Amino acid sequence: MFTTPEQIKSKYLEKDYYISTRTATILYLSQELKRPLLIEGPPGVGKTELAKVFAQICTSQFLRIQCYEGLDESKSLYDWNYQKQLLYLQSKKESNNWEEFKGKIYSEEFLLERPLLKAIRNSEPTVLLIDEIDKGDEEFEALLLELLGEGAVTIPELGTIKEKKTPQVFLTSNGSRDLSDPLKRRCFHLYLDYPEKEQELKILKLKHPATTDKVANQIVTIVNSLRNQDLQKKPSVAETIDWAKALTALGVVTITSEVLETSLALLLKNQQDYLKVLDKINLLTTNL
Amino acid sequence: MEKIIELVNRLRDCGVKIGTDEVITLTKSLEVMPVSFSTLQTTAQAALIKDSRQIKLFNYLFHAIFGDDLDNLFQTEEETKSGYPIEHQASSSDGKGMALTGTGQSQKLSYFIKVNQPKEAERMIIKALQEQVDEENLSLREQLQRIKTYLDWNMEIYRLEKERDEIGEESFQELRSEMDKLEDKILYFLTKKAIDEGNSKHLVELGEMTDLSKKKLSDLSAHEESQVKKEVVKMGRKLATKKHRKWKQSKKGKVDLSKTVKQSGKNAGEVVNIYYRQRKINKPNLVLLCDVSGSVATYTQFMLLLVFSMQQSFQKVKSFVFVDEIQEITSSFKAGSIESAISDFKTKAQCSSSGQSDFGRVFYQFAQSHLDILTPKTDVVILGDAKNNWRHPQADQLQKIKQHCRHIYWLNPAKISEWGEEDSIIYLYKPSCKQIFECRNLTQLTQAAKVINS
Repeated sequence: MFTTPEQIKSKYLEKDYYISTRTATILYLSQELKRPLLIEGPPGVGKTELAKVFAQICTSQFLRIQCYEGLDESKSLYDWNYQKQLLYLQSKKESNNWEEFKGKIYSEEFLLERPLLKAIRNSEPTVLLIDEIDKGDEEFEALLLELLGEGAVTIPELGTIKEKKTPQVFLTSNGSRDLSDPLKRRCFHLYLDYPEKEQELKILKLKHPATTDKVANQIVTIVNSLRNQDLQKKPSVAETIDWAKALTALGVVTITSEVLETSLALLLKNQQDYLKVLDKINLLTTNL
Repeated sequence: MEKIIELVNRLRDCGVKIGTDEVITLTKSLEVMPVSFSTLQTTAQAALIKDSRQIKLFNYLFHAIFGDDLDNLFQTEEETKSGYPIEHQASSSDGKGMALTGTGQSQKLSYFIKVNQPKEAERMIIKALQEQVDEENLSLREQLQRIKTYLDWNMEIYRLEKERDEIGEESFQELRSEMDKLEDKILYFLTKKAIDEGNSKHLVELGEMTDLSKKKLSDLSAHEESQVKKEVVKMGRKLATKKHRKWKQSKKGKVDLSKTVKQSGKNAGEVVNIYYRQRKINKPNLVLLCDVSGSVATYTQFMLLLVFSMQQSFQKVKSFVFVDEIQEITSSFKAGSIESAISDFKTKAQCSSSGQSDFGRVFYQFAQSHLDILTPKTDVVILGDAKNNWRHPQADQLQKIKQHCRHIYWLNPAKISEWGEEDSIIYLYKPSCKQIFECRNLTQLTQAAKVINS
């Protein structure tokens, strides 16, 4: 599909998503070797967006599973339409021909296809996003091993179903728990950290070009300083962009300590963090 | 290819788990990528490293094995030398600059950092390496410490903190970041030295130093301690909501087809009700007995923090601390924040008469006074190094406790190689325990907590 990492990088840029050469290289490897990509990093750095934009630039169908505790195969892989099966059994109650309908009770007609099954049975290019895999439990990870390792799933009643076309699989994780080694082993790994100042400036100019150069520089400087503080929840890239939009809407031409104080809640969503930084407002805006 | 194998082996020496499959993936990746220093680094990292905590370690080893491209050390391709130039700092600091006054290494180091002369700073590091760490039998930590002492590192940190208000937060962060990069370079040189000397002990140590979850809890700096505490609280909350393997009937959840079909038998096969099931949340009782003597106290505070975060996972939690006397501290946890509870036990707990641990006496006291709180659903968790100072073990008392509870788990912060040595009597207590865990770092604490909570 893409022949070089640079091609991927420029395609992302067309969609207003800036990625580093390192990220483009790893995306290229994942695509070329048809290996899933596990993206880890703090919340709000663009992990999910990376997968979504990849689907757009490849014009692939996009399938998503949002993981949570208790997610199992009935929500993610397949389920049987029990109600329909029971109705079918009811309708065949008078019939003595068991042979006729015993094979049908567990057939495609009664199969409910969930995203994982859909992804491997799709003959069109597909991007499968398994979002926040660390929120799911270990049993769900075990479920994924066959899919990620061999491109197949096993349904007891139907047997092993192999993929028609290898989907491009992305898994994202906020790192709230360690994932199992067998899962990690099957993937390439990309760690997306908070961007460096220059990179964040580029992202900000792409996502919100209305921000003036001066204010954009001040925004990334302050956000970068905040991330170096000992906070419970550091401001994400998404929050940086929101803050930029808010400042533009307020007609701010330069960020003073008063401006920072009034808009700090857009960056810090934890009361303890907010109070901690409030004491340092003047320090943060010195020499801006 | 030889260097790739060497990289893989050195990573494994440092405790990074790398399977053959991953090495094969790396070689396949290199077939499709044009090979340059940076693409090799990116490709190798993506294929071999699956844990963000190991990235730094990977960088040290990669650079030590593949190249001496020190100008690009740890810089991404997008990172410019001076996005916010250090020269800018010097010129914007009211013309004060940083004249080279005095003869202290700290002032030299500071000067080279502020005028952005990393090469000069590196020369100082190399000189320190040659002069300060040529002794044998120095651990990696000791070598690092010696070099930092030679460079007056702490003095420089102190100076930066003092100037923080004056120079502004942005400049402070920039300079602090330069110090961090220099520390990385010191570790790079030490890594190279360890590889050249074939010193696998130092490589193991490097693995522990770079991954906070593998670092001994008693060796954490104040900053690292606060980071690990956050991880412990996060882990505790996660474990608190962990569902049991068993299912129970519920009004919602997954369809319980077998029950639905069975019940339809009452109605001649007509399905009147659909039954559902959900995962059960198991809530046992927990009793904690924590040694607070000496360095074990550090581990106790992490254990207490973990249990506090997991409180909702347990029906009832009762906590005790001891040295050679036992004291209950359960009410401290119910009252206020975990931090104040931990501070309380450090300052107010009256659990020591001789100042030396006496596990046997503590178990005797517990068996005499607190057996009534134990039920067949209670798990007892003991945190201690089992070093009994040659006193009577009274292992029969622990056995008595065992008979009144479900399981006893023991978390031992001493190295497993030291168990049973000198006055450690852990093996006398082992028959009463369901499981004994080595518990020295965050990783081990997590594993133990998962087993206890399962």
